[in-house]
Amino acid sequence: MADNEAKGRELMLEAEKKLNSSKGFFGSLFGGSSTKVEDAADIFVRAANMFKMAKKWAAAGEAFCRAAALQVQLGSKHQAATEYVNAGTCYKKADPNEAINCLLKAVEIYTDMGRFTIAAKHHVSIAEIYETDMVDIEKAITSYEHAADYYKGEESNSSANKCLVKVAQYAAQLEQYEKAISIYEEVGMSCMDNQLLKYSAKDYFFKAALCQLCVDTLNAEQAIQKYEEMFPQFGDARESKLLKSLISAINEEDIDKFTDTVKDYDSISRLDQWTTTMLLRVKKNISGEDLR
Amino acid sequence: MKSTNTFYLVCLPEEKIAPDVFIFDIGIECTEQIIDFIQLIFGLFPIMGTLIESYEQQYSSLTAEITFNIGRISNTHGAERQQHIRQADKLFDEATELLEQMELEVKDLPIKDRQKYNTRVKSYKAELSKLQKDNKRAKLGIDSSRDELLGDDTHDSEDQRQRLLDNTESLERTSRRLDHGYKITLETEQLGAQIMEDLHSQRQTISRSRQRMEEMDTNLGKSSRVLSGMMRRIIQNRLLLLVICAILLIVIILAVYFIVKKKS
Repeated sequence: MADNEAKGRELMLEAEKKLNSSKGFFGSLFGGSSTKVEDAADIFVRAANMFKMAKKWAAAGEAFCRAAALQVQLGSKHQAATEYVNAGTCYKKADPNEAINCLLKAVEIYTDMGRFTIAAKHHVSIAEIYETDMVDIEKAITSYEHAADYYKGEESNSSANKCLVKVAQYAAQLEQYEKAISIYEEVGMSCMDNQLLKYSAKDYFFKAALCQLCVDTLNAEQAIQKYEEMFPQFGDARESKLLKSLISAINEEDIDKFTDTVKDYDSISRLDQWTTTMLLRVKKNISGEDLR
Repeated sequence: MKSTNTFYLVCLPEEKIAPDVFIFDIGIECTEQIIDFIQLIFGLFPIMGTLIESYEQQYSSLTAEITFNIGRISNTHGAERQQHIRQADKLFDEATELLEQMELEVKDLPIKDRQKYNTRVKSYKAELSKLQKDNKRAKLGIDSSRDELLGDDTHDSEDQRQRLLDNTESLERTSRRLDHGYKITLETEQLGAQIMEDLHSQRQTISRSRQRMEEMDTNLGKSSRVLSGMMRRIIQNRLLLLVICAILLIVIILAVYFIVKKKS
């Protein structure tokens, strides 16, 4: 609504005036400067809210940024960090780059203060922006890694696992198989012992074995043996049967058998995007070997 | 041994519109002769009437033949039986066609007759379906008294071939349902695993929040103690200030007093 936008602009101007006036001699003399800056920051926040109502995300983000900068000046870090986070959310809808900048600044402040959990959460948001709006998978991976490290530091293993799994997923997509394999194995082993999580463990082992397949069949066989020893339930699962038949199909270099097994499995439980990509790569490997 | 067969005997009423049909119980030996008799009657007295009346006559003769054949079926075996069965089926087809034509004719009639003929056609249809049931029963060689006791539906597919087909179909249905059920259980399992992961992370969040809350509690306790300490100090300072003010006042008063005393 133009109404809110106009009000927002008014408030911005007012805040600017306040800031400028506080630089005058008498302002600082009478110790009113800090309160003036505080007031200005307050007004910036109100202006930003007005812009938010009017859906002018860029202007709102800018207002939040200025408010945050003022707060840093005042030395109230918490406030500053929250304002940066607000700015980041506004920019998410308008300009992803700016959003990432703001969020990074917020993360800096939080790590300074020692609040790693919330810093990790914001790293996750940054990584999500990279994932969706900007599709920059490398940077997404680095952000997720940061987040996972912080979470590990704070002993929140389940959140750490979630981030690590995403890292592994993207790493495998980018063909960094070693990394993906080690991550999946680690996560799988940590899930094995936990009553709540052991039903997801077999899924992780399956993914690890699939990555092994993309690298080398012999490795995959050994890996499956290892997993079965560690985790007998994995051996019973349909996934391990699928893997074994895939390995035998690869050894025989029989593409049709491969396709049939995959189709069979798919008819019972649908394969998701990632799995289909990996299986396709394995298939191409077979046909690549055939052509040679 | 006298076999009980229902048989239709046709009598010519006085109105000469259409022959009425009566049911008699009669011995098997006479059936053939009676059929010939009926056909003779119809031959001797061609009823000059509308098309529909001729249809009705034809229908009556057909039903008579059908009943005869049905009776034959239950009492014969082997090739003769097959022959009778085929004959009966053919007659049935003819009778159904005839009924359809009758219906069409009834539609063309003037209104006052239509009602009467409609009811007649309906009764003919009912008869025909009953005959069909009898036919089926005769084909399957079933004792009619057992059938009456247990009801009609028990013999739906006792024909060998029909039974096999039905079995195959139900097997297929069952296997399809099982497959579907399996798919659903797998999906449920996946969903359950996901939920468990979420629960796990939520559990950790909750325990972290509890920890923080306890920390916050101790901090609040500390800060409240600090604040009360501050209050005490403020009060102390004020008291001190008052005391000093009081002393100063007393000193000033004394000084003024002594000076005045000296002067005087």
